[in-house]
Parts: sequence; structure tokens; C-alpha cells
Amino acid sequence: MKTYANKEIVDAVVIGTGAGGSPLLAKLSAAGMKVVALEAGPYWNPAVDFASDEREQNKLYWPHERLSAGADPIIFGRNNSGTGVGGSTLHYTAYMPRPHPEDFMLYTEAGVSADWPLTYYDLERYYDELEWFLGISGPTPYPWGPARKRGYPLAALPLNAPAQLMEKGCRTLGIRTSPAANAALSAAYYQEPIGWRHACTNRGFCEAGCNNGAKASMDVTFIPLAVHHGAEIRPACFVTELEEDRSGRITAVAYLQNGKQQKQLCKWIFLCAGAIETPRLLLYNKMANSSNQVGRNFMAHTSLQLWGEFEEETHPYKGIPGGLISEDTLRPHGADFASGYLVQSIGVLPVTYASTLVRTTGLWGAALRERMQQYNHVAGINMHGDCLPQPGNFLALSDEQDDMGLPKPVVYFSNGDNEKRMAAHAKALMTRIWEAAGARHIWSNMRNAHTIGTCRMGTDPALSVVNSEGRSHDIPNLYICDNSIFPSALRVNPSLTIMALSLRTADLFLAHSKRLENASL
Amino acid sequence: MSHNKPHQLATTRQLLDSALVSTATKAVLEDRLQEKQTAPAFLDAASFRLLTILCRHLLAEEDGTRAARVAADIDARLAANKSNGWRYQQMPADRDAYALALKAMDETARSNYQHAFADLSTDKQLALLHQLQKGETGGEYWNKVSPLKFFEELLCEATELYYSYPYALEEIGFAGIADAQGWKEIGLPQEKEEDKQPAITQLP
Ligand SMILES: Cc1cc2nc3c(=O)[nH]c(=O)nc-3n(C[C@H](O)[C@H](O)[C@H](O)COP(=O)(O)OP(=O)(O)OC[C@H]3O[C@@H](n4cnc5c(N)ncnc54)[C@H](O)[C@@H]3O)c2cc1C
Ligand code: SF4
Repeated sequence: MKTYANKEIVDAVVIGTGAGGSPLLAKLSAAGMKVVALEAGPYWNPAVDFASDEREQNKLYWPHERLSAGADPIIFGRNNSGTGVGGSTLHYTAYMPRPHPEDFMLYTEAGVSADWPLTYYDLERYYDELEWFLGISGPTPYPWGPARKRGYPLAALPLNAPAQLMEKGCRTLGIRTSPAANAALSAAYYQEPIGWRHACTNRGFCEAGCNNGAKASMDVTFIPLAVHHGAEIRPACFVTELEEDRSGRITAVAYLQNGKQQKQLCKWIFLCAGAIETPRLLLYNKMANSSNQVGRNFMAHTSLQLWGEFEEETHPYKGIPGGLISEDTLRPHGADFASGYLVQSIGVLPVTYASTLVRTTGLWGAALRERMQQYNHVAGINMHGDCLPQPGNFLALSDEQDDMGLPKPVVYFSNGDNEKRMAAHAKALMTRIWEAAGARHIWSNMRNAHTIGTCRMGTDPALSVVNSEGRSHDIPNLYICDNSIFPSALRVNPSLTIMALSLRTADLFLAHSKRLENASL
Repeated sequence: MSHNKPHQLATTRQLLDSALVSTATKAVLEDRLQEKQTAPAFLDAASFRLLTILCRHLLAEEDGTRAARVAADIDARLAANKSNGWRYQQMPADRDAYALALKAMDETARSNYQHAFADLSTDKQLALLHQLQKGETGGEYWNKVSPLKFFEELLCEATELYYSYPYALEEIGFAGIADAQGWKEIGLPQEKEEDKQPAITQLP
């Protein structure tokens, strides 16, 4: 791997190597730029470092304490945040649905949330590029949404028991389903200059880290591509400060590496630390916030899970947890809420299941042990639905310090009427699906998944943090690219869109910097 | 539905001794199975004893050393001042929450039954735990820490730790540690060749 000195003024520093940081890192280095990525977490070697053990794999989760407040406090840790080279893609389930064109225009459609300053068609070619680069397994043709230029490069993965049960329940009720698009390989896949990646072995540990490279996390896809093109990845570097000069440009990024203060000089900054750490860093540095919108519009998908026990053995740890999808509820007929949701089957590992069970039902003692005996008969379904921004849902700095000496973020979140009505609609439907599939002892847990929207993208500098290209309205050499810039939550799992934005940001930035260069000649 | 169904493939011990478990997974689980010193590093002896009793009840674990292991895991986390990445804003920091709540639990026992929690009969201890879960403990010692949230957090942490031990995973028939080859037949039973093999279905 190439390395750069701290005193060398590199072209760009990328902060964070998750879904938002890694694709643009690869694209900038492929364009010949000198780029350094600063990543707070370690650089894992999955084949050696990843055990099939949930407790051991807690090391993939962001360890610095966040405070959760509001009527529906967000559960972080295992639920919502990752760290390490690859970011949260190290533990994502890798469901990779595309949003639909109408999802980007919720304000136009229903007078709520916000329209995006770009359309589905601005991202379409990036979705296609990603599906083929990452090696997404999925059905061709995909049953919902606009026609596509081409199908998925790999056939869909085999269905595990929860997926088969959801298929059965939906078939009875006349709801269409399809094997999902998932970023795990259904066959070995070759990609220059990355080489071969293994096919998925159905080990089912996707959310605790894939140990064989079958799952397209960033550390086995865009990161090796970036390194090949000359990027330097610096793990265990926790960024604390952004230094501004008199003209209001950022000239250096200060970080802690093994407890030691370091500073990297640079021309451009790409802040990709995720929807909690990105606004925390900006608030702490009192930067890029003339709109007073940094930390505002915090959203988290309406993601109720519903569980049941079946006569048949389900072995919910086998196969990718994300197997089957239905998008028939894109805009449910006669619904009393705006937007809609999708439904997906879920497998589950035992510690996660037990934890969810006790937190939701309060079961303990002999009743808990008895209930856990049914683990091999359990299967789940899950919804992800839109979430509308509200003034009461936001991130701020608390007056407590964390173990890095920075103020802990406090995240206020309460579901609004739209989320509650949508969850009730989905719960009723999912209950019918599970009953039709033969489930007993059905229970559900309301939860909110994915952290979204704290540095909103928009055309009006008074109402947004970055412009439609992802560049700060206030600081001319700062770009933000992660889940924080979403103006609305969208009705689907976010990673594919975060990566598409990342590739688009890189293209727009390269054109922008070329224009600046030409102008100064 | 069948209860206490024996393990589908083999016991955890057999799995660990086979080539079915990867080196990385083996190392972690063998380490977890080691007998460990359970003397507390953060909590005082009385609080630790109380925590062990709570874990025993919450997990219905009559084996004292297993309950103590869970309590020791919690104590070790507090000693290292490690967080699981979040907490309810309304709660004090984890160390304070545990220290305060365990003291408060003892105070509640004394004010209700004139004895330390550890000296009460099992019935009385369980009755107090039910009160805690419902947030009906009362008393000013609970002013600084919500009994409801403390119960929820303790139950979650103890449960997660308990089901990270191979014996607990074995009890529920989890074979996911057999990761070296992965799985081929992953669907419902009628479509699973694996389950039709007598070598598997005839295990005791
Ligand atoms: C259990 C689970 C399942 C999921 N399943 C899916 C799914 O099926 N499909 C899907 O699309 N999405 C899924 N997600 C969500 C997905 O993982 C995230 O939405 C996505 O990875 C977010 O990308 P990001 O770039 O915004 O942030 P991240 O991927 O979290 O990357 C941020 C990176 O920045 C680093 N960082 C933060 N602060 C600093 C700092 N100060 N200095 C240096 N580095 C820093 C972090 O360590 C991290 O590596 C899932 C998430 C979870 C928790
Ligand atoms: S199920 Fe497949 S993608 Fe998931 S962790 Fe196992 S091998 Fe990786």
C-alpha cells in the first residue's frame, strides 16, 4: 500500500470507510488523486479475525457511548452502527433493493417530508454499476419498479426456511414475493483487480461479519480497488478536528492514532463518518452549520419485526438472513399514511434473538429458557418503511464526555403518527402472513433501523447542509457523503443508495475540481 | 412442538473436537469454556453476591458457577468501563446505574422484609424481582435510577451473556458454530436431504 506523509498536502482526505466513503475513495484514486482514508476502527482480516460467535463479533460495533432519548429511544450498538475498515457494511445484512422514482419525491406526492434535489434517474446508472461491481445476486427480471437496462449478474441465493415460510404465507394471501437482491455471491465472482471472491456458504453470520468475502462489504470490494489505485488506508485513526484557514477552507484534519495526536494536510475533505458521527464532528468543530440544520431531520426507518414459531424446524441461523422480499406495499391501497414500506424475511442468530425477545416481552427465568428451546422453530419477517422528519427528532451534543474526550451525542427520537399508522398496517398484514404460514406464538417488536438525515442535502442553503452535489454550502472544499445527507428516509434499505451517491459525488467532484483548475490557468 | 429436542448434528463438544469448526471460532469458544476467576473487580463483595443471585433467577440457572460467570462478565465490563455503544439518556452511566440499583435492591429488601436481599427466601427474592420489573419498588433509593430501565438493561445484558456460552447454545440446538463448511440444505425440512440421513436423526 502506498503511504503519504502527514506534511504532504494530499489531494483528499476521506473520513470513514463505510458505504459512503469507500466507493468515492476508489474513484478518486482511480482518477490519479492522492487520497488518504482515516478510519476510526481497525483493519480486520476476516478469515483469521472473525469467529462465528456473536459476542466475539461485538467488536464490529461502534463502542463509544451515545445517549438515546425521546419517546422511542434508538437502540444503537448491535442495531445501528459499525466501525472498522468497511464501516457498517461489515455487519449489514446486505439486502440491496433500489428505491423507486416516487420515493425521491414524497413532498410532491403527499406534501410531507422533502423532495430530493435529484431523481432516481440521476442514480440509475450508478445502481447498475454497483450491482455488477459488487456481484449482487437477485432475480431477473426484478418484479417491481422501472424496467432495467440489464438484470442482476448472479442468480438469486437459495431460500432459507424463513424465506420459504414468508413465500408460503404470501402466496396464500395473494401477495407477490420474490427472492431478494442481496450483495452476497451466489457463485464465485471475478473482478479485476480484486480477483476471485468466494460464493456464499450459507453460514448465516452476515450481521456478525462474513469470514470468506462472499458478502460485498467495502473491505473486500471498493477498499482493495482503492488501494490498487494508490489510496492509503489508515486504520485506528479517530478524527477529532478540522482546521480552517482564514478564507474558510479546511486545510488539515487532526486525528488520534493510538492516543497520539496527528495531523494530515489536504486540499479536499470528504466527511463520510455516518449519520451520527458526521454531525457530531461538525457540531463539535462548529462548522458548516450556517443553516442550523446540522443534526436536524434525524430519521430512522419504521422497521417493526414480527416473529413466530413453526411446527417445522427452521434453523434460523442457516442461509443469508435476508432472503425474500415483497414490495407490493410500496403504496398500500387506501392507507391512512404517506409513503409505504417493504416486507422481508429474516433469519436470526441466537443472542440477537434472545436479546430482542427479553427486551420486548420482558420474559425471564424458566419461561425464557423454555421459550428459547423453540429457537430452531423460529422465523421472522420485517418491514422497512419511510420515516418523516420532525422538529423533535434531532441529534445534539450532550455535556457528557465520552472515552475519546469528545461530547457524547444525544439523539432524540419519537415515532410520529405516520410511522405509527404505517407500523400498525404492516403489523396487521405481517400477522396474517405469518398465520397463513402456520406460525404460533406470534410476537412483534417495534423498532427503528438505520440512522438517516442529519446533514440534509438540498438546493436552499438556509434549509440544508450540502448542495445537490454533496458539497457543503458553507465550506467550499468539504463534501459529505453518507447516510446523513438523505433529505428523506426512502422506503428501502439504504446502502445501495449511499454507495450510488458516493460514486455520483466522486464524478461531480472530479468535474468540479477540473473546472476550478481550468479557471485558475 | 417438541421440547428439549436433542442437538441436530452433535454436541458442542463433539463439534469443537471436529474439523467442522473454523480455527477462529474454536479459539473463541474454547477460551470461553475455560474456568475463570469470578472474584469481582468493580463491585463490592455484597453487590456482586446480589448480582449473582439476580442472574440466577433471571436465567433460571441453578448451576451457581454459571450464574456467577454471567455476573463476573458484567462486573468485568464495568471494571473496564466499556460501553455497548449507547444508553438511555435518563439512566446514569452504567457503573453508577449498577452500583446504585444493586444498593437500592438491598435497601428495598431491608425495608420490605428487614433482611438483606441475599438472606431472603427464594420466594421473596422472586417477588422483589417482579416488583422491580413492574417499577413498583418504591423508596427514595430508586430516585436516581429507574427500576424499570434497570431491570430491562440487566435482563438484556444477562441474557446476551448467558446465550454466548456453548452449554446454553447447545440447549437450544444451535449448530451455527459449525462454520468450516457452511450449510447446503437450508430450507424447510421436507426439502432437506440432510435431515433424512439416519446418522443424524438417530442421535439420542
Ligand atoms: C444489523 C444491520 C443490518 C443492516 N442491514 C442492511 C441491509 O440489509 N441493507 C442495507 O442497505 N443496509 C443495511 N444496514 C445499514 C447499513 O449498514 C448502513 O446504512 C450503511 O453502512 C451506512 O453507511 P455510512 O457510510 O453512512 O456509514 P458507515 O458504513 O457506518 O461508515 C462510517 C465509518 O466512519 C467511521 N468513523 C466514524 N467517525 C469517525 C471519526 N471521527 N474518525 C474516523 N472514522 C470515523 C466509522 O468507524 C465507520 O467505519 C444494516 C445495518 C445494521 C446495523
Ligand atoms: S451467509 Fe454467506 S454472505 Fe453471509 S456471512 Fe455467511 S458466507 Fe458470508
